Amino acid sequence: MLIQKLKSIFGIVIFLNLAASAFAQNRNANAVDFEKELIQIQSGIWDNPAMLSHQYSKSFTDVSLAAKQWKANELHLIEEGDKQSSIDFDAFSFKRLKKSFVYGRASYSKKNTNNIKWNTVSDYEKLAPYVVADTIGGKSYGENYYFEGIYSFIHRKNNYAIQAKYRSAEEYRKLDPRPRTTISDLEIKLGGIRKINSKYTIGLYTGFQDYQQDHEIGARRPGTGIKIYYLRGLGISDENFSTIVTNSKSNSNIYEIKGYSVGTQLLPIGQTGWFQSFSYKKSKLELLKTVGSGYDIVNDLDSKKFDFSLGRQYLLDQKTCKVKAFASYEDKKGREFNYNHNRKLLSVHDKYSESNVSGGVSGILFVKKDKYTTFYKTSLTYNYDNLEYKKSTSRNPKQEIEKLRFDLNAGRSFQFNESTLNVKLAAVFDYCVGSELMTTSPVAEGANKGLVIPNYDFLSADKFLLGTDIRYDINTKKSYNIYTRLAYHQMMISGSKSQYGINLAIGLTL
Amino acid sequence: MKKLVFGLSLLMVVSLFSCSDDDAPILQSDLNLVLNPPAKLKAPTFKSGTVTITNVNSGEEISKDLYGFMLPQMSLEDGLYNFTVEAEVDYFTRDVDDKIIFATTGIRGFSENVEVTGGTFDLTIDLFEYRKNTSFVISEIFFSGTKTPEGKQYNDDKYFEIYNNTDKILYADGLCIAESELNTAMSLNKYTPDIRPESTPVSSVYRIPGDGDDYPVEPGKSIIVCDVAIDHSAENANSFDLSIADFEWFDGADIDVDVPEVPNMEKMVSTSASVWGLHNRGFTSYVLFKMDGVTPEKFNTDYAYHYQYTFVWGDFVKDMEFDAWQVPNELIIDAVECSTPSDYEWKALDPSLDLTWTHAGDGDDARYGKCVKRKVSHKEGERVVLLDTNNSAFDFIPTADPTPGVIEEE
Repeated sequence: MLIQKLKSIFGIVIFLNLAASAFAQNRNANAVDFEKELIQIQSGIWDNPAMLSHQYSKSFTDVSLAAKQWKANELHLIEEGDKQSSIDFDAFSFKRLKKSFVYGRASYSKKNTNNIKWNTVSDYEKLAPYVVADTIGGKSYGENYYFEGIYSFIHRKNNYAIQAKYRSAEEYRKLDPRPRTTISDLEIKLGGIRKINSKYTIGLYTGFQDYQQDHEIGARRPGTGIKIYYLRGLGISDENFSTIVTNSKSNSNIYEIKGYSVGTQLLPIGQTGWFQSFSYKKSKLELLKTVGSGYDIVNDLDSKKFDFSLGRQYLLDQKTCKVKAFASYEDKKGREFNYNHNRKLLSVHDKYSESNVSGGVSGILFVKKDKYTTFYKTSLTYNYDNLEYKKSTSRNPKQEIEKLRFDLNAGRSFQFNESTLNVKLAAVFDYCVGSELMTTSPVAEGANKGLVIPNYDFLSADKFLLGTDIRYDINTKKSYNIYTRLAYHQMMISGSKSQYGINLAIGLTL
Repeated sequence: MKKLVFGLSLLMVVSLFSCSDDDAPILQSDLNLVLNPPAKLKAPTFKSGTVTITNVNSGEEISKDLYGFMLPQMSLEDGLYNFTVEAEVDYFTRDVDDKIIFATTGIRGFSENVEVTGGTFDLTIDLFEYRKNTSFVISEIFFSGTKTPEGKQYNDDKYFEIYNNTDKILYADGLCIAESELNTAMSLNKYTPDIRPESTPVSSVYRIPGDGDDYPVEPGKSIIVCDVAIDHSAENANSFDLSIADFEWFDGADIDVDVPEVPNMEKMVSTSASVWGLHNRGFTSYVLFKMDGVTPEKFNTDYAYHYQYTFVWGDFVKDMEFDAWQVPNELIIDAVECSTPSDYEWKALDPSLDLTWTHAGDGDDARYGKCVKRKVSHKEGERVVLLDTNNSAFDFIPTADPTPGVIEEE
């Protein structure tokens, strides 16, 4: 019922924006798209919904339909498949009113993912390492609905805002084993900002997340039996819960994530000054196996993440320059619940730990001229990721990967009489400074060879990505304009064949 | 303003490094393990041995050498465990001339589903003498059935192969093959009476007919008993020729197929009213025994067995009662315990008959067309001697290719 109401609200918000923006300057959406990099360098600040008024300077609306494809020819993350194709519909709109600001987004995606192995769940990144896996693998089909709305209003010296995001998705396979997942993901944020003097605004927000994935797996062919594993990290599986699914014996599970976040921001009111953001996010994942009308908790995972950035922005002539230093730390701790054959809980062990430290510097220079606008962006990021599984009888298996990443981006937006051409180029070099993998046994059968080692090879490989994104808008002097977009990237991986991605879209802006 | 920015930044950086939890240690209990030697061994002296401790949840195995009837205290992660002991002892006994001699014998022990929790844990395992088999052995069991090329299940081609593992002629007359009543994939709560140390609960028994010397089996030769003794490959290209079988089990003309050229086994008892179909995932176990002079009617009454247990499923609890039959362990010639890695919960047979278990696939599609097959120990001249240590995990090749009528030399 609540979800239906939320959907209605978002629908109304989007409709109002579309209607009200019919006569807005139609180059706004193009400019927003081109200036994405300038906005994203301060991404931590926009986590606060009350900062919406500072994120975009003018109203706009953008509706698009895109066809996307991504393919890996060799090394890739095993659980995420080696090819994905999708059709995406996306509509988003921002409206500046006298004393309030409204943002709405609605999107729909239909996708296929090929050759997924060792994974029968959706949103693998959210649920790892406690994934229910099979060794058969297959092609999955999915649909995804996403709605987002922000309402922000000014009251005296302050801005207050509420943001709601809702995602509903379903994914399934057509061949045995037949996993089927349905997802419900709701996030709500409340935020506020205040001018503390003539130069600066500070902000504070808090957010709550409620995520649930219902997972079911079985077989249809009579006489079929397929082994599924309850994985615990680094190929290790729970022997008691891992089982065989048949046409008369299916298996169902529930994943639940509950979390909250808080954050502070500092933003200059003018074009020059310091900016800063800090956020803390805490969440807990539980994997529950359905047994009759109840359930047994199989695993849980506590996650904490800190993000911090500090930067300064300058305006010199028509040049905007922003530089920042950033750092983040993420920590995850997983527990296992062990039972006897009568489902009596015997012990709970802290076994899995993962930590990620990241930090770096980045800067962007944005130059506006009469006929064109140009940006140059660069960043250098250090990342250290470590995951480990505790064993009392032998050395702990673990995986460590240390990387340096260098990004170089440039773009130019050409404004013609009745059209605009945006061209962006990107080069990313991902260098592995050091890595280590220590496997163990016993693991799920074939897991070291088919999962742990190939994933490690992919994650630790050096990578070089080249990409381009070209968008052409026509009829830019009318109340609406149409655009086409072509984005392509190729990622070369050392010791392996490359991956590529392509995105072809047509859109309408108001 | 600069001070504010600096102060906020410092606060944030400090918080990054001050909020990680200490690693919690894994809960462990100190185990004190005591082994009781068999009562009938006089003054046994421990010679050598090992204890294998298997964590049921993680599948991890710990193997420790034994130097006596006690194991030095060791720490185990809290959880559910199975313990297996194999050892040798020296003991005093009398030879055929009634002289006291010093002999060596194998002893074993087994304890399963032990809940190790609470900080300190004491476990006593009663050891038993390992009995060597000097008769027939079950060399191959094909219980999974096959699949047709169209992918349909085909169940008529199941069989047992029984091998003369001695250097003498043995007679198959009166040899009984029985399926266990207990299921290794379903442990029973409050199972009473638990007769497994003395007798084996069985659900079906079939006997080879004969007067005692009608069916000789040469040393190093085998016989096949099967469901339907025809060439199944004619109907199912993935099956094989069982027209070579020596005996069939037959459950009546109204429900079963009878090949007149192949003698039928005598149906002693069965809990099933239909055709005897071996559990196709291998959750039941099999024993070979002889019981001379016992008619099916007498077996039905004299060896009847009634048992009960409590079925628990979450909050649902119900007392259950069943009827079956029992075979005294002292009559059992050979036993093979079967299960699957994913589903094994407890033993259907006493560990003195079979210490562990074997399997033909993990209950998944890989089981079709696969059997459990006894390994070759060595050759004595031209005669193959099959491995028989009463330990199926060691004695058998799991998920093997069936070769009915063929005893491979390696």
